[in-house]
Amino acid sequence: MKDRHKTMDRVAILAVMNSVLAKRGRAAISDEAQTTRAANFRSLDFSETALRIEMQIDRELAFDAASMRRIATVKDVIDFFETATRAP
Amino acid sequence: MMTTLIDPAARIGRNVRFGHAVRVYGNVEIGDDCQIGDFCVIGHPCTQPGASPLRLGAQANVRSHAVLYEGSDIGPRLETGHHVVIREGAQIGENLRIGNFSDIEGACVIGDFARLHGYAHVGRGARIGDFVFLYSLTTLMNDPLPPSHLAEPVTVGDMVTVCVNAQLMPGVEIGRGALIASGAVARGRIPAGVVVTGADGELAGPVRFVMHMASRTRHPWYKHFADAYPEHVRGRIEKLGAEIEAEAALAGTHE
Repeated sequence: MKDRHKTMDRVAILAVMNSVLAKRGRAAISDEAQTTRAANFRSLDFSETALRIEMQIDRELAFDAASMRRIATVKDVIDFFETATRAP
Repeated sequence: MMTTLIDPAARIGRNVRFGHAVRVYGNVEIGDDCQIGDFCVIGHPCTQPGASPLRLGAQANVRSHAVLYEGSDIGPRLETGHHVVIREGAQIGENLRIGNFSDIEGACVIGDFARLHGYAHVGRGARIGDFVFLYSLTTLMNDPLPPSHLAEPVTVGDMVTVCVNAQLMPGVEIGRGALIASGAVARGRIPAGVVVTGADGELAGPVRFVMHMASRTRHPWYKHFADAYPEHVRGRIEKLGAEIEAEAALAGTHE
């Protein structure tokens, strides 16, 4: 049976993001205040991060589309996934 | 001096315009208001006798040096680039747009409003859905043991996007709404609504999380790109896109 209440903390989410970047041979994120562009975190990285998080929490992420469009920095990405993993 | 050669047996609609040195064979039906560019060959004979006519729907714009074989049925508003080849036995829906030097190897089915950019290669027997994008240098293969007489054509679902230089291996079945990233090699069965990346064809996440980070434009594309299509078809795009999203959500991308 799937655990509907699995969540991930910020450290774990950042680790997933960095593992995606590492796979593509890019540097790890050093500062949450960086823009996604400065961090070299691209569109497909976002999608792959989402997939890996879904695999870890064993359910599909629920999210508000508008919040996704507000993302500008690494912090925004982590906030987005943190909120999405907590959603019922 | 070269002149246009039109077989009197060819059936040609009203207001069809021909460029210089066009060859039209007899086993051809051309709809109204078509434009055929210089040096095109329309209804090129097949090697096997008894082929059905080439039926070219109304309002086609076939640019110079294209070669369309007999035995294909092409819906209205075809738009080709230059040097396009469409072999026999292709069943093509409404408003295919196909870029320069692209090649459709025939015996295939292509849905409505497909978009093939330059240098796309569609292997024989392919099945391609509605609203599919094949970007430049994409190759849809069909021989699993080249060279051989075997054939494993590819299947590409509705609203699939195949990015530049992606390769679809023989027999691949791509679920609706999937995105094959540039340079990826897709094989096997690809679920609906997923992203495929890299030479190993990795499933790298759901399409609904693909977002252009700078502009925050996000997929699936029907939510931000339907305006690229004629108004009368946008409702159909919306409905199909919603259906595909539901299918992808139901299947899950990680199960």
